[in-house]
Formats: sequence, structure tokens, C-alpha cells
Amino acid sequence: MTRSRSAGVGLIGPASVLILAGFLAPTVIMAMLSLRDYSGMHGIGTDWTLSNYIDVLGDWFYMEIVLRTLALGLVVTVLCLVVGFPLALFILRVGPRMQTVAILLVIFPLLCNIVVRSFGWMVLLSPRGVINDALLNIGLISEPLDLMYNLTGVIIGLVQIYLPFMVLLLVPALQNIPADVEAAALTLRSSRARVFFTITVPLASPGIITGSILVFVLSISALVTPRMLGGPTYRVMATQIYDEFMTNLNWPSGAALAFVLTFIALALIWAANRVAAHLTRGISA
Amino acid sequence: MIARKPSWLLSLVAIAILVYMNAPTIVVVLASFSDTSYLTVPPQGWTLHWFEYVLGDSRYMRAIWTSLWLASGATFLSLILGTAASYALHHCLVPFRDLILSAVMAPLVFPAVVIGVALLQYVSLLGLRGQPFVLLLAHTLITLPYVVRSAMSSLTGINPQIEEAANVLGASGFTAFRLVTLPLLKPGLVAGAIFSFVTSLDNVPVTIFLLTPRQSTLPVKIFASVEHGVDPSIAAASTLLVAGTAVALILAQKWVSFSRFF
Amino acid sequence: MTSLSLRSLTKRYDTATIVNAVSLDVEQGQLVSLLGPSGCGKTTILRMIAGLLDPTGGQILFGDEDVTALPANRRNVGLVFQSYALFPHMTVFENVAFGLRRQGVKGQELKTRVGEALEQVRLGALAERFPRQLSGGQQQRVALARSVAPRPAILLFDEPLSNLDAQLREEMQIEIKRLQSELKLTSLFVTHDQHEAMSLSDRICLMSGGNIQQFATPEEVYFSPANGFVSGFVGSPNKLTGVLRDGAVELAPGLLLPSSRAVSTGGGRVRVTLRQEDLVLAPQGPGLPGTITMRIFEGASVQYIVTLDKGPEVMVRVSSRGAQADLEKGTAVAVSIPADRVFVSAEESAA
Repeated sequence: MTRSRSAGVGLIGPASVLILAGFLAPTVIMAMLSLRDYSGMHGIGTDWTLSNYIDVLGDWFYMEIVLRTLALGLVVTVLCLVVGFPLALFILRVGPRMQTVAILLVIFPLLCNIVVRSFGWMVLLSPRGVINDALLNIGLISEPLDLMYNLTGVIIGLVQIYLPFMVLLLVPALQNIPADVEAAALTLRSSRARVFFTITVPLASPGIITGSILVFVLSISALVTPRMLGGPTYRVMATQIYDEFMTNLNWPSGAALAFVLTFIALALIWAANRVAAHLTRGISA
Repeated sequence: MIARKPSWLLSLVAIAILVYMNAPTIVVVLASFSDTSYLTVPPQGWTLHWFEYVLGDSRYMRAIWTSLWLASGATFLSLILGTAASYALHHCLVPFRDLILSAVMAPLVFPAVVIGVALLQYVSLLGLRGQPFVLLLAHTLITLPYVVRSAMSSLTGINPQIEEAANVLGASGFTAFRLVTLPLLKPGLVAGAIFSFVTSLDNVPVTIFLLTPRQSTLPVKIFASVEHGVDPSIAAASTLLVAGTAVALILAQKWVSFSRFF
Repeated sequence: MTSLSLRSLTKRYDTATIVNAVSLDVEQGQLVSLLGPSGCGKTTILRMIAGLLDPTGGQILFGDEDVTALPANRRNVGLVFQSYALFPHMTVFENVAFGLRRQGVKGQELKTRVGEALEQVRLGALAERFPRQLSGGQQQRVALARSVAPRPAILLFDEPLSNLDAQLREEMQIEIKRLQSELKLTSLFVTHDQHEAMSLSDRICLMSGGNIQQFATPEEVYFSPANGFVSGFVGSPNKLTGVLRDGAVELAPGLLLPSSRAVSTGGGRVRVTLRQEDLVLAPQGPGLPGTITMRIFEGASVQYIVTLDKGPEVMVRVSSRGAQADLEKGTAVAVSIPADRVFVSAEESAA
């Protein structure tokens, strides 16, 4: 037993050192930084204070950013669900050859660079972009629509960017529902719509929850897409953290904001796991 | 699910969604061949000029080079560290198994921008900002969970008695791993490696905080260029990234079935 | 080829003792079964012999050599797993060659010896197949060939037949018995199936709670069980309770069963085991009176459920070609049993 113990420590050692020195230590140091006072004149001070957190949670400027971020995450998640569900159903119902093509077309954007995809949306959505051009040409509109550097653009971009995750989690969730259960419900004189909402959706709910939380957490943490499609003045938490660190050089405030974001993300993931475990009580053995 | 053919309405909606999902990439690729100096889709005329421009620009080339060695290096390190760690964790060879596993997977659930700023002030404190090895370790940190997740799920599918059978037949611990477990682990490791490579190649929110003004990776360079206005050279650089991804995807399909991605 | 000896072999986890100072000798070329219910420690012993588990105490000897401290890969044992544990990414040939290659066998000799091993299990034609292309029985035969090919000192079987269906199991039993006696391999066979143990073994080691209950030939285990546990585990016994009175067991008031195996326990309640096939039915005469409440035709035998008057139910098994094969439900019968077939044990020691 001692032989395998020492082998185990040798195997896990390098990865543990990396995590410890490269992740846990920086996080702890940033936690300490977030508790330091800061003034524009003297920079980072040496006193301990909660003022950075009080600012973030009490100041309307920051509160608006936090609320906007959460609202954005919610809208993107709901849209991903609404758009992802039919695509997941299609993937499950279509023939094997078309299925491979469809899955490929879901995975390809997933693997494509987020910067590239956001840039693609800039090309499509800008005032002289592809969409406005086309709409102007066929005469549907007389002036370019404001599709970019606002909420619309950020939502269009984020939904497209995180949709693959949702679809790839919905497909197995729906696939694992035993056909017999739905067939049983149909023989019990339930309509197809009724079976869908009373049997299919509840049984797929662990997958739906996992997918939704993933998309929500990724959306509220997104930096690149809000910056590229929202423009420099469109503020969400991630872009504000970036600005605090890189432009304002108010690191304690940025660190506090970063921890608020982290707390929201981790709390949601934890809660979702609890809910999913609760829901699967009767489903999985 | 009850097997049923998709209705024409569902098919139509699904095709529209698939177009929506792939439109930005297609547009970028088309724009990169445009012979105008502003972006038009479809292009009015075709040219490879923008590719020449990107490949001739030393800043772009340095960024491409940085991206490539970073992604390869991080994937390589993640594969070695991740496989070893997964093996120890799977066989419960270490104390605090669940705690260690959560710590290894944590960079996956932490917002990337938070990891970025945490590392920024950490390396500034240590005076290591701009060191290439810092970038390499940071990327290993964020790619490691993909390898571990993949390797752990592959290990679960391997009958534990197989390695014992090899032991009893005369193979020592490492020989048994090399001859029996590793070949069975390979599809999972390939999937994990591809995800690692793409994740590293894709990363902006961690990388951007660790670069000095003179350093860049390709996505960071594109991200920064956009702030000065969009032009077809950005599209060409993006197309190069897309092409790299497509090659990775084709390799992936050759090596592992797509069920791996679920 | 060598003998196998266990000396006070012990395995403890924290406070739980799984194997309690077991000593056992398997003579060269013999096949011994470790038989017992799940959790009796039999698989733990096997894994310790194979080197896959470190004992807490005691010694394992192959012949005169103490192998207790040797790692699994240097013990030269063969092990046939319940799950077959074939290498799925290797052909049948490569599976069988694996152990030989570790011994440094190569070239023509490797081919010859793999071929021999595959011929011994009659799978020579399937050498280039992969395990998943074979049936369960074929896979188990590959596993058998793989473990005998390197000519192990000791051959170990870990419930190798429990994943097979009944008919295949019988075929494989014969296969294993034939191969083991041809190669004269010292073997230890772990099973929970008494029929398997009976038909395969030179000797049976019956275990319970980490202790050996009886180590004897199958005949001895069957005809002279050492204690109440053995008599209750072997055969298909009726397990009843009663009170001991002057060399007889009282199952219910007035229902007395003479027993020559009764040990005086001071008149307390005892457990009585009566084998179904030892009970004799007669239309009338001496014996315990009862009524047939069910008849089950089983092919070679007929099983009756008999309710004893004012007493418990017993199951009786008779030959389907015998005189008592056609008794109707409701028939009054007398149930008797030779006094030396009535096994009595103190109540708590029975399983």
C-alpha cells in the first residue's frame, strides 16, 4: 500500500504544484488585494478595508453593471434554450448521415475562435455591414439599423457563441429518455404536446439545467464579445474588471468586482448541482 | 426519445439555426478574399493580397508563432500532467481525492477574466510579467481540466481487472500502463488534446493580462486591431485561425467519433 | 509446477477481519476450490496469492519459496478473471502472447507456444480475431489459454464461469478440468457455486467469515459435513429448528426425529439441517406424518413440499423414475430419514 501511495503522490505532484502555485496562490493574493484601500493619489494602501466591496455593492455605477451583466446572462440563456431545443430535436430525429453533418456544424463554431466569430458579427452587423447592406438593397429599410455597439449586438453574438454548449448538452439529455416511457404516456391517451411537456421536458431537466447554468456563467464572464460588439462604452462585469486593471489601475476595486463575479458563478454552479441532484433522485439509479 | 422523422417545419427551423451558427465564420472567410480595402460580402473581386500582407507582417507572424508554440506546449504539458493526475485520482492512489480533483477542475468554472487578473497581479508581484514560461504555465492551467475530464471518463470505461491481468502476466506497473491502459486511453486523450489545443489557441481573457505591449498572440492581435477599425487583413488573419481549427476538426474526426464530444 | 501453501494468511481493513489466519496446503497438480458465500474472504485470498493485494500478516509459499513480498508481475501465476479481462485492443494471438513476451519468448518459439495454448482450448482458428468478435464462452477460453501459456507455477480462477449461461458453464467446467489435469497445474478455484466446486475439485475448502470451515474431498464435505455451517451450505437442505431431547430432535410437540449426530447442547434450541434428497417418503409406516401440498416435476427428479402434521413444511426430492414419483397433492405420507443424516448444530453457528 505504501508503494502505491508514493507512486500516487509522484503522479499527482506536478499537477498539484501547478494548481497550487499558479491558481490557488494568485486567487488568495487577489483576495487580500481586494481588501486593501485605494486612493487615486496614493495608489494601493496598506490598510485592511471592506470599502471595495461596499463600493461595488452600494455604488449605483457598479450596481448597474452587475445588474446589466445578470440580465444579459439571463436573456442569452433563455434564447439559447429556445433556439437550442429545436436544433437538438432535429439532430435526434434526422437520419444518420444528416445527423453527422448537423453535429459537425454545431461543433465547428464551438471550436472556432471567439475573437474570429465576434469579428464575423461585426462584419455582419455594422452600419455598413452585410445585413444592413442587404436590407437597404431590397428596400426594406431606408436607414441602417443599429445592430451593433448596443445590447442587441452583444446578445446576437453571445447566443451564437454559447449555443453549441447548450445543444451538445441537450442532445444526450433528450437521447437518454427511454422511448418506452414516452410510448407508455402515449398509450395512456396523452397528446404528443402533453407528453412533451409532462414527460420529455422533466426527464431532460438535468441536462437543461446543466446547459443553462453553463451558458449563464459563460455569458456573465464574457469579455471579448461584449467588448467587440458592445463597443468601449458598453460595460459588463468582465469589461469593467478589465478596465479597472488595465486603464484605471484601481486593482483593489477590480479585484473586488472579480470576486463578486466569481461568487455569483460558483454559487450558481453549486445551486444547480444541488437542484440537478434533487431532480435525478427518481431518474438515475 | 421516440424515434420519429423531423417535420419539415422543424427541419427548416434547424437549418436556419445552423446557418446562424456558422454565418460569422463564413462571412469572415469570404471577406478575407475581398479585393477591396474595406469589408464587403460577397467580395466584388478575389485576391490573396490580404494573406500576403498578414504573412509578410512581422508582428502578425510573431503573434502566429507565439500562439502556435503556446498551444502546442500547453497541450503537451497538460497531456503529461493530466494523464498522470487522472490515473492517480482514478485509482484513488492519493489522499483528499475529491478535493484535489475539484482544484484541478476549478479553472474550468472560474470566470476566465478572473483567472487573468489574479495571474496579472501575481506575476507582477513576482516580477515575472512577460516571461514566456509564465504564459506557458497559465495556458497549461486552463487546458489541464479538459485533459483530466477526458482522461477520467476514459479510465472509467476501462475494466480495472485488465491492468491486473497484465500485472499477473508479468508486466510491471508502468509496462502494464504503457501496453494496456495507454492504448485504451488514446481516443480520450486525443479528444482532450484537441480541446486543449483549441482552448489555448482561442484564449484572450487570460492571455491579454499577461502580455507585455510588445508580445501578442493571434487572437489578442485581432482583438486589439479591431479597436483601430476593421479591414480585410484582420479577416485574413482570422481565416488562418479558422483553417487551423478546421484541420484540427478533420483530424479529430479521423481519430475519434463525435460521440466523444457529448 | 509446484505446491501452494498459506501460513496464517490474514487480511484486515481497519477493524474488519476479512481473512482470519488461514492456513492451507494445495498439493502439486491438485485443484482446490475455495467455496463459500459472498464476503467469506475467498476472493481476498486469491488476490493475495496473485500479488494484487498485500496481506496484513502470514505467508504465501510456492513450493519452498516465500513469495509474500514479491510483486504480482514476478510471481508467475496464471489468473482467470470473472470478467475475462482480455485486452480489447489486441488480437487473440497477442492476448495469449502477452505473458510469453514478458518472459522474453519471441520469434518462432512464441508462435509455436501461442499456437499450442490456443489448440489446447480449441481456438486455433480464431487467432487473428479481436475479443469483441468472440462469444462469451470463446472469450473465457482465450482467457484460459492466456493464463496457461506462460506455464505458471500456480493457476488461479476467480469465479470464471459465473458470467456464462448454464449449458456453456458445464462445457467450460469439463474444459477446465481436462486442461488442468493434462497440464498437471496446481490450481485454486474460487466459486460460490457448490456444484461447480463438487464437480471440479480434488479438495474443497469451505469458507465462512474469513475462516476455513472444512477442508476435505467433495465426498467428505457432502457426506460428513464438519459442522452446521457446512451441512447448511452443501446440498439443498431444509433448515429447521428444534429442541434436543435424548438423542432426538423435537421439531414440534410430538414430532421427534432421531439423530445420531446430535451433540449435547444442554437442551437448548438447535438448528437441524435435512437434505432434500436424504428424506424418504412412504405411503405409511414409521416416520413423521404429513401431507403433500405441492408436487414439482424437475426432469430427473421430483420435488415435493410436505406439510408435517402440526409441524413445519419440508421439501423432499426423489428420483422421477422411483416408486414415489407420482404422489398426488393431498396424499398422506410418512417422512423418514436415517439417523446419521440428521445434522444438528447450535443455533447461532448456522448460516
